[in-house]
Amino acid sequence: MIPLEKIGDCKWRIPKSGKMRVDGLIYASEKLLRDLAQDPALEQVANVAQLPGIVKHSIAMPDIHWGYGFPIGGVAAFRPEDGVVSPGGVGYDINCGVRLLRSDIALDQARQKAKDLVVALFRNIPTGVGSHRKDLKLAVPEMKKMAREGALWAVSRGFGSRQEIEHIEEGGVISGADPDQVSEKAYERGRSQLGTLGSGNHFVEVGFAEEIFDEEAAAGLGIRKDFVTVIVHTGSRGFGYQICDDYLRVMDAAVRKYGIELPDRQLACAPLDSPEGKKYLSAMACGANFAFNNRQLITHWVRESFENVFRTGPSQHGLRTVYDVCHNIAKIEKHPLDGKEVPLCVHRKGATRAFPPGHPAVPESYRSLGQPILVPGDMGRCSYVLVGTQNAYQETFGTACHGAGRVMSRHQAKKAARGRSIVRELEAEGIHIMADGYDTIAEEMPDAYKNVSDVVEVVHRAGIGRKVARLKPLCVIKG
Amino acid sequence: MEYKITDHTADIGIEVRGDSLPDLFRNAALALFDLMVFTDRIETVIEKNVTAAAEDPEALLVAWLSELLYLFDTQALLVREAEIMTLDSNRIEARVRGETFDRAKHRTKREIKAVTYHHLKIEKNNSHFTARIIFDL
Repeated sequence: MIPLEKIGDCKWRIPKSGKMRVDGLIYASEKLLRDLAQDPALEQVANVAQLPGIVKHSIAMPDIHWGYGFPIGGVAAFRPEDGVVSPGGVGYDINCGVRLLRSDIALDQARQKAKDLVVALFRNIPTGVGSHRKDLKLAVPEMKKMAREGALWAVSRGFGSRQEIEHIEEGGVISGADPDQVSEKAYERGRSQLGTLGSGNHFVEVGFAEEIFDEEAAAGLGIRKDFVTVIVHTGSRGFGYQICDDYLRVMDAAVRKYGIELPDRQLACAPLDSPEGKKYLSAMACGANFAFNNRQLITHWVRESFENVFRTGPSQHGLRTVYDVCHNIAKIEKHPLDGKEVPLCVHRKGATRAFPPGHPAVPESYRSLGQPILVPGDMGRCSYVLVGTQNAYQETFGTACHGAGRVMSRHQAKKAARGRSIVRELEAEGIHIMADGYDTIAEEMPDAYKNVSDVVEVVHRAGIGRKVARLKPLCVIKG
Repeated sequence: MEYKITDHTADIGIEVRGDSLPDLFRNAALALFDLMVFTDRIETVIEKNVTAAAEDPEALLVAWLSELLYLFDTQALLVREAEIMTLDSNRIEARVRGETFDRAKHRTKREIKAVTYHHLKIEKNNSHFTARIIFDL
């Protein structure tokens, strides 16, 4: 049993013990903690606290669940001089993330076309195992260019606009990308997968703003009640998985070379100030930039699908990127530590950056509001838009949650879905689903997830994010 | 199929068994494809040699399965049969047989992103070997 002390409303501490270098800090309600009782995630929070150079706390967001090495929903920051970087603290799907689009299409209009829309999206966006666009397979030199340039690559080829990339975290390009640190294998795996959704929890969801909590912020982000929104959730596909895989092997050797003691092999890491650590960060940036491009291309096909179904042009549908955030990333950012702003390597694995109003990294148009945080829920209930806060900047390295978090394993979900038609159940609630994989819908059914509202409530109450709007799904495509 | 699915909150784990170490590696490969597609319609029309190397048997199991995932992602190869030619603690050579993935023919189940090292274990009991592997989805 991992000991927990309550230290505030929705805040818990795992006191430093044994080889832990810092405390664990958990954001959760009592209800969410009960779900965690059987989950090894809390032990993983304590394991991360053992890594060299970690500062302040090993943090867990309210959607935390069991990952490999690092928990999903984990946040940890390391000093550049004696800290480490760990591919396991980012995950296989480098820059798995979420993009939110707003539109000028009213709910009534969308309801009538929801069935056509789901079919059009499913046809235009490659979805599921082994699926890709026949018109898009890049040669390796082009892949390298894309990995260096980030979303600008897609935009300069007509997929979206330059203004759009200002609304992507880091302007759609993680700096320091060095394509020569990425293996041939990663290029081979990635070249036919650019512009594909993938499978598992990835999706494109058309929904609408069901409730606005903060009128001013919603208006600032362009979100209107009962108007259509679109969420794109995907990452760096085989390109990122291969980069992670390659560097896990490099890190396995680095752990021995630098004599780093680890409680779990999957936490393999290297000093930030080592050739291995630096190479990983430059390869990871390439993976992250692939993911930005992936969401940029899919956004383009979302627009095309809307234009086909509603027979309109861009000026009528008004589908614009509100924001695009990374869920799985390690970045060098400046944060307050002991009264000074210092560079730290912040790992967010299944967590979202949540910078406060006034922060220079927040796009100018949103600077007075704070950075948008996008929190998708399951395919039946709802998703949330929040904005970052000063409190998050002080407590969590400017980080909030990323989703609902699973509560059932895929195996349990399949059992629970036996004899039911999840598609028909959702249709009865006005939600149209299309999925490629036979098991996907059962494994991803709403009951398999925590209620995202419980998760968001913790974030809001703990003050590490502020609720702006709740979105309700209309149609969803999955892999 | 000589494997069963074990519980993991976010991803999917399997427990696979084999009468010998080569048999275990073979069954793990077949399990990997069984998690991705319905394997009954994979024909054995392509043959390919696959090798992988790693520093210990557990890491070798990850490397072997990762190589097969790589072949699927880059050449769309679905594997139905795997013949282990040589296997020692840090190298495997195998001949696999299968077919190119065809969306119209092979019904998909789910995508496997990667083979993890998490809670990875190969155990020898009296008469057989078992391995626990967690896949990232």
